[in-house]
Amino acid sequence: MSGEDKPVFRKVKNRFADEILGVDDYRGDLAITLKGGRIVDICRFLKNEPDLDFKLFVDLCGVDRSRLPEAEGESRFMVVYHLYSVTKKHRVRLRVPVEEDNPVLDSVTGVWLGADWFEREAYDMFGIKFRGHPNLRRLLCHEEFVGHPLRKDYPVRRRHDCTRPADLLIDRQAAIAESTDRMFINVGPAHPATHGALRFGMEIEGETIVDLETEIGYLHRCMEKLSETVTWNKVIPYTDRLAYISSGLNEVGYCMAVEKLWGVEVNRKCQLQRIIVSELSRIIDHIVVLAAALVDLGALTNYWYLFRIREDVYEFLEAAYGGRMMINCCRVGGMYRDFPDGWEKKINIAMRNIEEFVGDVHGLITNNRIFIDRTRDIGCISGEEALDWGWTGPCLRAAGVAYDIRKDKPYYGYDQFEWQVPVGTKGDCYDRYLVRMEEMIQSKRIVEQALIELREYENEPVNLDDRRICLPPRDQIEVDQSDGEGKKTRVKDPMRNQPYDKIEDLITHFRLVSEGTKPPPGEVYSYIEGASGEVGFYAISDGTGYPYRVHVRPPCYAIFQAFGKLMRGHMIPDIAAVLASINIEAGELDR
Amino acid sequence: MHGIFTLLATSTHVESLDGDWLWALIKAIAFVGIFLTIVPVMTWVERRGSAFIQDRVGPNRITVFGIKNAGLLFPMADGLKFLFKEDFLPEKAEKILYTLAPMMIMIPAFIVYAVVPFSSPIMHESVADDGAITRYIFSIQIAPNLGVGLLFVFAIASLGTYGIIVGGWSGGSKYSFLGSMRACAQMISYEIPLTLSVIGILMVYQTLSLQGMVAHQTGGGLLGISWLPHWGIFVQPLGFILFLVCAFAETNRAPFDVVESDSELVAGFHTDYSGFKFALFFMAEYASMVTMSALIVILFFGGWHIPIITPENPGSYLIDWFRGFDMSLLWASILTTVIHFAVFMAKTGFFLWLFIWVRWTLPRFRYDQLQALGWKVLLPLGLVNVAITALLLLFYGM
Repeated sequence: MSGEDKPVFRKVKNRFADEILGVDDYRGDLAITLKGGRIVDICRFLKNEPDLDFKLFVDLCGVDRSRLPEAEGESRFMVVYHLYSVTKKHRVRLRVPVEEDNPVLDSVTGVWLGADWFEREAYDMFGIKFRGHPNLRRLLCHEEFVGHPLRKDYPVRRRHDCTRPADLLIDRQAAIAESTDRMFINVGPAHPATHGALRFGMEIEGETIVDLETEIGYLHRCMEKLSETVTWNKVIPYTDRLAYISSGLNEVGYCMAVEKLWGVEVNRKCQLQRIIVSELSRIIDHIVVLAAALVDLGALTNYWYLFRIREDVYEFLEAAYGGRMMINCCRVGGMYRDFPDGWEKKINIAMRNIEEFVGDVHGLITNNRIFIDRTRDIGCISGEEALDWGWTGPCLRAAGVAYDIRKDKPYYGYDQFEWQVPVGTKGDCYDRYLVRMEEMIQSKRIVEQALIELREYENEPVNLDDRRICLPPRDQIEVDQSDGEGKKTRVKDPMRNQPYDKIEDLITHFRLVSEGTKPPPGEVYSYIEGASGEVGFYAISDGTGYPYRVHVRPPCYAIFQAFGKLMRGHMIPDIAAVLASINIEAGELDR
Repeated sequence: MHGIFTLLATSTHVESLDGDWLWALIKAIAFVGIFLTIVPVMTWVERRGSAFIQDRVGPNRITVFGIKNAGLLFPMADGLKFLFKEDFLPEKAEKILYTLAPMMIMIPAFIVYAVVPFSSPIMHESVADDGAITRYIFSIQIAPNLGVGLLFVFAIASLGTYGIIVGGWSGGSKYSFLGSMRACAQMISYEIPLTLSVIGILMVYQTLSLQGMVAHQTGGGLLGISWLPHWGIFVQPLGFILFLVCAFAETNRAPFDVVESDSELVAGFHTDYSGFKFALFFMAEYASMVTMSALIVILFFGGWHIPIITPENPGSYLIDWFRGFDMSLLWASILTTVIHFAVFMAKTGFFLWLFIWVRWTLPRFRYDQLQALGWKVLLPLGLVNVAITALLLLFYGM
């Protein structure tokens, strides 16, 4: 079906025929190019029309097209919206060109609350102004920063000295100074509850939070800009550092995006290995989130019970890929290498311990009156509001919306496994805790089923047999390994590869490493179910070995923008409970 | 009534050494010394104990001459570190109060030990030429003749709150300020149920003197059951639970540690303190844990009495038994005292462990929930306990 025939496009065309500049259906992504004039009306139509029902605001980002060959003579900037309908299960990408000399577009914050930070980021990175935005200030870059770094003419190596901390709650300061019972209190960037470098300012009355504003960007590493300076495969280590406690998931998401640009599907063996790495990453991510949340509530012991499992998982990841946190395991078209000898045993140990330690934590915490008092009805959000803010993942499911990409748009055959999506009812901290606890058990089920299937592919290659994408295969050198009792066995040394015996292979290797794989020109949005929600990668290729643009849709970014509103009326101790339960990873938040 | 006192009643002349200020001074120095040593031992127990609970190894790296000592020397290393850390003074601090605050919390924490009876008294007898027996009595308690013992404990212990409030306020930091505000409110709310919880037992014991309370818990045969010791916990079970909960709150230990809740207020009232000033706060916390544990033992667990040994004349039972071996009264009573002291410390040690055990098991209350518990649950229960005790005493006697 071409883009013209898709029902979403037909609906939009019936209503706004004059606004449409073009439609595209590249690799199955419906993309509608629109004029900017009536964007708010169109968005409202998309959201409220029952047949379209785009309630979930997924992503908004800018693109600088000035160096894109096929965009010669067109507007310099493009603002790209990604929307999703949880009920109708369809997606759309809206592309709105913005002129360089007058980069102004109407803000859609009135339609979706979640557009707030995404528009600020587009303003920060490209200088696109959003008319009607309530607080259009820089977000990731500092207020003293000069220029817009993701513009193509901004040099990668330019530096600015930024010294002054941002002023928070500026419009409230005068009132606070006058009042005798209100106080401004600064939290972070180094504070035990913040879990990474973030900062927020609060106006408090006694211990009740009247207002709260957040400042992020302390961990901003220009990941998207850096990605444009290296070849496609070399971006993978940068993605590791997004949600750094579940790095495997980011890599899988990114590699899927590049493979989608290529239009290829990886081998089943690779898919299964990626599923195992993803689910293990999800488990360790939930472990860290839960453990940290419980520490913040003063229940310190659970931290060690949970981290035992994490250690077991890391034992496996370390044996497989050498790294522990930053595993750097995926490659475009395959994996870095096959699972090592004895992998199954290591995973089984981890899987065995999960139920035991999760059971311990359930016993200590789940029915504990103090814990329930601390988390029930704290940080509540309704499903509808959560969608509006762009929430995804466990936090959205805790609010009662059963949106899990693994079920709703299964990739890698997730639908063939037997597992369930846990859903909460109230959307409070307690539900988020329970959802995560259960998801760990469900992930364990998936891993166990994937393990059984993976045994069938024992001697098959992991990587694609495609010399445009993957390195030519090489055998690992076999070495003698002593078992300590004088017996020696021949095992493959994962650290050492045989040299190539064909010059063609060597040349292919050289070109793929130095020039990079070269996906055909085009743009795709690829998404997976990350540990804290939808991890999306919006990638544009101009046909070279270097990405033209890589945009990350970080789940906790959308979640965290609701934090200020979530906290109003709560007390100071609730900050720790809520912040930990929504899972903020500054690496992903700030990129 | 009390074995030892029956023994004394048979003497023609009893001389107490308790009025001698020199002995009092020696005892004071000795006991403060003992409890200053308990604090580092407690930090070791806390660290190793939490490691035991949390399924990890815990501190074990310091070895002396190649001898592993299960981390027993870590408290010394900690102490040294505290001594050599910079004594940081925040710019906005009220300097005098900021320096005084750690002392204000430390001194009351140790003064309280003055009235705690740690063991049965040591006795000595001398026979004069005319056959008159003079018995000397030496209490293992710094100030044994203080009739208002329990009131003294509460009065002095609550002075420690000033240290927390002043320390939090004088640092000039908003976090410490919030911590000390919490401390202020928490102390007031929990002093009331704490005091209420002991009124019941005071009505039963009819005395405020801690020594008298211990004497009252002599022997068995409570409710006609021969093996059931005459302990406060069986007489006042509700009072015990209330007192235990309030003891946790009064010592600012988890789950009531909102005053220094590290995930919200960084370290609460002592956020800015460093070096030895911080160490004093730290020691005071453990010292008050010891006080509270000792009080629980004295009020509800028979003080230094050994639970199973309960013949008719239990207080002097051990002494009589030792004297059966041809020992002089002095040596027999010294041995008895040592055993009783060990029993007392064992009981106290159990409650100290309970403090640690609870800390590593339960999550922390929220500040307002803690207040609600104090005012809406503990206070009414305390009143109910007093009422029930009064009615029972009225209709059934003691």
